Amino acid sequence: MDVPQGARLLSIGEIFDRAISVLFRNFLSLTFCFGAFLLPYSLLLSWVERSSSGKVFGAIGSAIAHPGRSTNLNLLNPAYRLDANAWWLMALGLVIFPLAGAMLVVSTAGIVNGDRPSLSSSIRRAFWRWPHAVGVLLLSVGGVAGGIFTVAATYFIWIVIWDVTTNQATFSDSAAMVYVVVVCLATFALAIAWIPWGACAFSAAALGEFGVFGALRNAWKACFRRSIAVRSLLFGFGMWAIVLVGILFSYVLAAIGIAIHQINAAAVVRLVALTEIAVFVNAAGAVFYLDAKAREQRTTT
Amino acid sequence: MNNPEAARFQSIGEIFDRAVSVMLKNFLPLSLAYGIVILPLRVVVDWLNRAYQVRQASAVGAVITNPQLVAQFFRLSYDPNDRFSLGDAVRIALEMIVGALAAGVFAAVTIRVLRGERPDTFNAFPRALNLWFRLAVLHFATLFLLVLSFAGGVAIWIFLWNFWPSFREPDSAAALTLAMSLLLACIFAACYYCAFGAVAVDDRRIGSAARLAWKMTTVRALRSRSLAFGSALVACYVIGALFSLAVEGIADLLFHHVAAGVALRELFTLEVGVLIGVAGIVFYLDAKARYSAIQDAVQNRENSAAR
Repeated sequence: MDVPQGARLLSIGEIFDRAISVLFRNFLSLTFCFGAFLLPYSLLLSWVERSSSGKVFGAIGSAIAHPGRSTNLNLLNPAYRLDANAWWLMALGLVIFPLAGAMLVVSTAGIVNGDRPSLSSSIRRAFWRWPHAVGVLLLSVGGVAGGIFTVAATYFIWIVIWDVTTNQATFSDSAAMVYVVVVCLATFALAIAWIPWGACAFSAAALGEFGVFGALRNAWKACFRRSIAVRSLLFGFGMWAIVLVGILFSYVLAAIGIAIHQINAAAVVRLVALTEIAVFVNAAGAVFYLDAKAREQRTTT
Repeated sequence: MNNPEAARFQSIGEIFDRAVSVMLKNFLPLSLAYGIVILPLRVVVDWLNRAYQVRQASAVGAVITNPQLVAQFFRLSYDPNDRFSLGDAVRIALEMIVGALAAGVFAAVTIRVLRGERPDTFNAFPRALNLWFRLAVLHFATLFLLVLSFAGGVAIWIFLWNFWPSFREPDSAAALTLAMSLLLACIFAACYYCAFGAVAVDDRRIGSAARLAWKMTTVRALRSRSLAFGSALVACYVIGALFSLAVEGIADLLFHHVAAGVALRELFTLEVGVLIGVAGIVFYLDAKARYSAIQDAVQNRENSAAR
């Protein structure tokens, strides 16, 4: 899709179209690419967290049968704490999934450019770029978390200074409400901005075009130039919307399995749906990066 | 693109791109065209449902300040004494009838915008009044078809209930109902917008519009595309509903006034409706062009065979 090959630039809708078309036309190979990592991880997760999974599935089943008992469906139970197993699993996921994601990016870039990359060549290429992909992912997540923390802390300090200078009671109820709303909005905006930035940086690192910091810096320039910032934010919003709806639908499908007491079928359906969402996200990210690169080249020339 | 019917075929993503771009460039005229009829109706309906609005606003506010209550949202906003009554049925019927007028005005303005002409909401009213009856019938016919299909689904459930013990639980009925509703909405959305476009844009009669819409969306080459568009519309609606609730909750927390939250929610929902409506009309124009191309190809092949 590079400009020199003569293809036109894509709109946001066309990027999603292209990602879906790549996904459908290479369904088995791409699903296998990601599923090969997700399946063992999920099995391990299910086994380690088997007691909590059973409780969650039981609570969903109970809430479907008796909506009056929806209070039982408290997945965010305050008594629940992440134990050592959960932290290890999270760390393992952060290491494994960048490799799977890098494979998908390499495969998608090859497919979009008209090649048919083999699985082995994708794995080989992704494997060499793996540390970079992990670095980009961690730094971009850290950057966004830092942004949210900065907004929250700055606003908190500002409120305290304001209360002290005006001799008001510190952090009244209404100020606390406004604080929650401001932090929510900042989180929302940064989460939307993270998608195009992270997708571009991750794809650039996975395709071996830049190092970790170079990928992050160039992705920022490619996504948030004045002429292109709104487009990037629209892409981020679209991706969140698609992922949110996808996850909701996957849980609806899983809920049917739970309702007819086919727990294993429900787990398989949820796993397949989550795999396809992950494949779509990586494919759309790669297509967005290639398009952003083509736009940047066109602007430069 | 002055003549929308002469444009090249568009993919689903391009249809939504076009809808967003048309909506942003003509934000006020399109919002006015839809809102001038629908907003007064929503004000009346929200006032009639004011007890529910207060319960819902407090539930949304509670969830935003304490996300752990998200699972209890329906319990917090649900009134066990509230029962569906004849008054509710009459109100829904009135909403559908008035909604048909709003849809007529909106379609007349949208098609002018798509043709590159100046949108004129007030001059769209005579045309909308002319189409009103047909659009109202279309709304009721769609509702009837949905209910009929739903009844078919329930019949399938009863059949399964007899042969598969797992289906004899109340939770299986609830889950199947939810899944069936989503599936039916996805299947019917594309067909509804094609029938709506045929009536509102091309001034067809109900029977002819329904037949054409069915053919346009169920031709083998276009079937998966129609389903994809229907799913995208349902997804837009779900995301719109989630965000409108979030907007209501935030406004409620900031202004401490239920009315402010409800007003912002209704305005947000209006814009989601505008986006979905524009996407539906663009989809209809594209589907018509595609169907004509298929018909032409079939005609050419038959002529060649005859020669």
